[in-house]
Amino acid sequence: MNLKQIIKKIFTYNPNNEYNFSILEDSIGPNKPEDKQQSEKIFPRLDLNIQSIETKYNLLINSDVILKQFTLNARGKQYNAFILYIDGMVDTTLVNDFLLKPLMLRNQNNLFDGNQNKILSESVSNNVTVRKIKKFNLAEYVETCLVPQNSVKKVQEFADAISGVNSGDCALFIDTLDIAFDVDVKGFKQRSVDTPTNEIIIKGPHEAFVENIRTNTSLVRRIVNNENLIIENLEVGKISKTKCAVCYMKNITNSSLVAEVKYRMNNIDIDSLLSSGQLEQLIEDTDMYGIPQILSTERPDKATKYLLQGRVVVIINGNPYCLIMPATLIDFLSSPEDTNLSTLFANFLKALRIIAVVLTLLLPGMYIAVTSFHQEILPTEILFSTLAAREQVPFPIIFELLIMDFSFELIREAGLRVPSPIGPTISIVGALILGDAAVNANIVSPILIIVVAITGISSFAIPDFSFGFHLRVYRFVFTLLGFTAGFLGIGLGIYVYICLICNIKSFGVQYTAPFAPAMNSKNNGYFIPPIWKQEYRATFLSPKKEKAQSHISMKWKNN
Amino acid sequence: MTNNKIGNFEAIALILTIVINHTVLTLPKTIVSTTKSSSLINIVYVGIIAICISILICNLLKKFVGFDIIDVATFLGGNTLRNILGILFIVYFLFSAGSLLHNFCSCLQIAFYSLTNILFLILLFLIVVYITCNFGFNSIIKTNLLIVPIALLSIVFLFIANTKNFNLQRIFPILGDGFSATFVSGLSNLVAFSGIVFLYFLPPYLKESEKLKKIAVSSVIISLVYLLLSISTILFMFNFFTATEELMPLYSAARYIEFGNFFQRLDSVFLLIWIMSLACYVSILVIFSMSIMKKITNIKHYNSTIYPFLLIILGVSLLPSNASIANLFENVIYKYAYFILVLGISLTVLILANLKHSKIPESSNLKEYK
Repeated sequence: MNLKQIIKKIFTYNPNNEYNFSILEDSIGPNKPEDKQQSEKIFPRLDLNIQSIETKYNLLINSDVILKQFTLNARGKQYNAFILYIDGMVDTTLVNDFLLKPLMLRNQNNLFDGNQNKILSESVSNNVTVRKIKKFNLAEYVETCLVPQNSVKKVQEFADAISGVNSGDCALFIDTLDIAFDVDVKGFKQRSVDTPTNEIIIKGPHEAFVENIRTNTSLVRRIVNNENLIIENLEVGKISKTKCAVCYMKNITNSSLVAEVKYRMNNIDIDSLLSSGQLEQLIEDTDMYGIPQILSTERPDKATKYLLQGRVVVIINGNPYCLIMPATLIDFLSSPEDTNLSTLFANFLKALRIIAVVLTLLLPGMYIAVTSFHQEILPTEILFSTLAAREQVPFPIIFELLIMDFSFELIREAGLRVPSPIGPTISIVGALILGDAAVNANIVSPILIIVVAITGISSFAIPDFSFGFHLRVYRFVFTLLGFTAGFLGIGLGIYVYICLICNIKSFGVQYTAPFAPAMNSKNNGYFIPPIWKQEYRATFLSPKKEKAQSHISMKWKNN
Repeated sequence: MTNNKIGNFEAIALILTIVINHTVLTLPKTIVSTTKSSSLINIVYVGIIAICISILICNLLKKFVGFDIIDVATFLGGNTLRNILGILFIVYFLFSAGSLLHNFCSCLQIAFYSLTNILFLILLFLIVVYITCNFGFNSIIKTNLLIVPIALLSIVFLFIANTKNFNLQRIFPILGDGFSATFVSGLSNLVAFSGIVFLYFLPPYLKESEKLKKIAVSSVIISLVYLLLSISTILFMFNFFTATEELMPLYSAARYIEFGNFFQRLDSVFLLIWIMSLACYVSILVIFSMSIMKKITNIKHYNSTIYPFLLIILGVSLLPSNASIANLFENVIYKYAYFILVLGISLTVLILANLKHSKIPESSNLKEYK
C-alpha cells in the first residue's frame, strides 16, 4: 500500500457494507407433531416402497444412503427387489458375498424346481390321492433358504426397517411382499477410530473422528440413530474438490440456517480446501477480531449433541475435526463432560471456567495496574512483600511481565512442536529450571512467576482451543492497557471487548445470546439445569421442534 | 428480524444508564444539599411524579405508533420544528456527555492520576467511544444491557457492605428543612429521573412498542430503588455537610468498605465498574445524537457525524476551568436544560401534536412524517 492509498484510506469515507444474515422463524411450527411414519406399514408393491424410502431418506440429496435395485431368483422365478443400507456402516463383503450373491446369481438353491409345494399329509381314497399341501411362501423361502445370515428379522413397518438401517443393518425389500428383511451386516470402522487427543473427558465415550469422511458420518449416524439426520455432500475447492458433509436434523434444524450454511459453502471460490480450520475461516461471519465463531470438535458425541439441538455440523474429508455452527460464547466454555456429570458438579466446573477466563484475560493486566496505580487495594503486608520481591529486579515491571509472558508462550509452543517423548521434559526444564534461574538471577520477581503461572494454568482450563488462544492474545492488550492507565485502561478495554463480542454474529445468531439481547432461553443459559428440566431447545436457534423432552421426563416417578 | 430493534430489557437498561451515571457523580450530593435529611422522602415524592410524567409521555405517544419526538415534531410543525427540536436534543446530549465526562475525569485525576493532564483522560474515553460507536447501535445497546446490572449490583453491594457504618439518626429531622423545601423546592430533584428523556426516542426502536408504558414505569421504579439505596448510603454515612463537600460521595463511601484485614480498599474496583458504565453512557448519547442528525438531515451514511460530535464533547469537557464551574454545568445548566427541553418543550410538542391529531381525519397517513 503506497502513501497515496494510505491517505485515501484514512480520509475517504467508506460506508459499511456488512453482510447481515439473521435466522428467520421457520414456517413449520415449533411444536410440530411427530412424524406419522411410526405406524406406516410396508407396501406389497416395490415401487411404492422405493418412493417411500426415497422420501424418508431424502435420497436425492443424501449421499451415504444406498438403495440398490436388483432381480432376485427364487425357485426359477424372478422378482424385483432392492436393498437399503448406509455406506460406511455395513461390511461390503458381507453384503456382496452373503446377500447379493445368493439372491442374484443362479445357484442350486434358487433354481431348484422340484416340488414347489410342501406336502403336509397325503391320503388315498377310491384310488384318488388327496394331498394336503402348504403353498409356496416366498418370504419364508428367502429367509430360510436364500439368505445365509445368522441374524435375519422380518419387519412389517418402515420404522423398524429404518431403525435397523440406521444402526448399520441392511434392509431387503422384495416385490409382492409386504414385509422387509432386516439383515445384520454391520461393518463400520471400529478400532481404527481412535480416542480423542485434545478433548479428553473422564466419563463418556472415548471415540474421536478420523480422517475418513464416511467413517465420521457413520459415527454420527450411529449415535443419532434417526432417519431425520440428513448428510448432504458438498465439494469445496476447484482442484482438490474436498468432500464436505453438511449434517443436520431435518425435523429440528431451522431451514434458513441450513440454507445459509450451504449457501456459504457453495460460494467459496478457492483451489483447495485442506483443513477444517481453513473452512472455518472461509465461512465465519467476520475474521477481524480473532474471536472464534464456529465450534470445532473431534468428538462425535459432542457433534451429535449439537446436531440434536438444531445446529449444523460440517464434516470435512481428510480432517478429524468437524465444525459446528452457529456457536455462541457459552458454547466455547462448555465441555462435553458437562452433560455426563451431575448438575451440581457441572455447574461448579462452569463457574471455575468463568474465573479461568477472567484470570487468563485480565490477571497480568490487573497485576500491573495494581502495582503501578492502585497499590491501596493490596493489604499492607502483601504490598511490602511485593515491593521487597521487586527490589532487586532492574527492569521496569512491564518489561519483566512481557519477558515472562513471552517465555511462557515459547515454552508452550516448544512443548507442542517437539516429539511427544521429550515434550514434558521441555515443559519441566522451561517452567522449573528457567523460572527458578530467572528469579535467582533477579531478572524477574517470584510474585510475577506466580502471576504468569496462574494465568497459564487458567488458560488450560478453557475447553475450546481457539477461544483460549484468542484470550491469550488479548491478554497482551490488557497488559498494555493496565500499564498505560491502570484500572481506567482496563475498564475501557473491557468495555470495548464486550462491545466487540456483542457485535459478533455467528450464522445469524448473536454471539452473546441469550444474555444480550435478553431472551427467555428456556433453561439454555450458561449454567445447566437438571436434565429433567432441559425441556426445550435453545430459542435463539429458532428450531423447528422447540421441545426436546416431555414436561415430565421421569415418568417412572409419577406413575 | 429487523435491525436496530431492541427488547424490553434493553430499553429499561437504556433509561437506567442515565440515572446510574449521574448518581455515581454529583447527583446524590445535589439531592442531599437540596433536601438534607428529608432526601429519602423527597426522592419517593419526585419518583411518584416521575412515574406520572412517564405515563403521560407514553399516553401522548400512543397515537403516534413508532414515532419518536422528532417525527412528532415534523407532524406538528414541519421540517422547521423538526430541525429545531433535533438540534436542541443533540446539544442537550452532547453537553450532558461533555460535562459528565469532565466531572468524572477530574475525580479520576484527583484520586489516581494526579500527574496526568485531564485532557489525556478525556481523550482515552473519546477514543473508546469512537471505536464502540463504529460497532453500531445494537452492539452498544447490548453492551449497556450487560453493564447496567453490574453497575446496579455495585450500588447494592455498596449499601450492604456499608451498613455497619450507618447512623440511622441522620434521617432526622424527617422533613429536613421543612415541608416547602421537601415538596416544593425539592421538585427540582426531578432531574434525578432524567432517564425518561429516552422515552421520547424509544418507540421506533422497540420490538414491542405497545409495551412502552410498562418499560417506562418499570425503569422509573428501578431508578427509584436505586436512588433510594445510593442516597441512603450517603445520608446514613456522612452528615450532609460532609456529603456535599465530597467530590464523588459514592466513591468516598466505597473507601469505607472493609472485610477483615485483607479486603480494605475496594474503591478502585467500584471505579472500574463505573468507568465501563460511563463509557457506555457517553457512547449511547453519541449514537443517539447521530441518529437524530440522520433524521434531521436525511443523510444516508451518518457515521461520519461522529467526528464533529466527539470534538464538541471534547470542547465541552474542557470548558470548565475548575470544579465549581463543572458543578455549575452539572447542577444548574444541565438541570435547567432538562426542565426546559425534556419536561417543557417536548411535552408541549406532544400535547399540541395530540390536539392536531384529533382534528385530522383518521384515514390520513401519518407515515409521511417519519
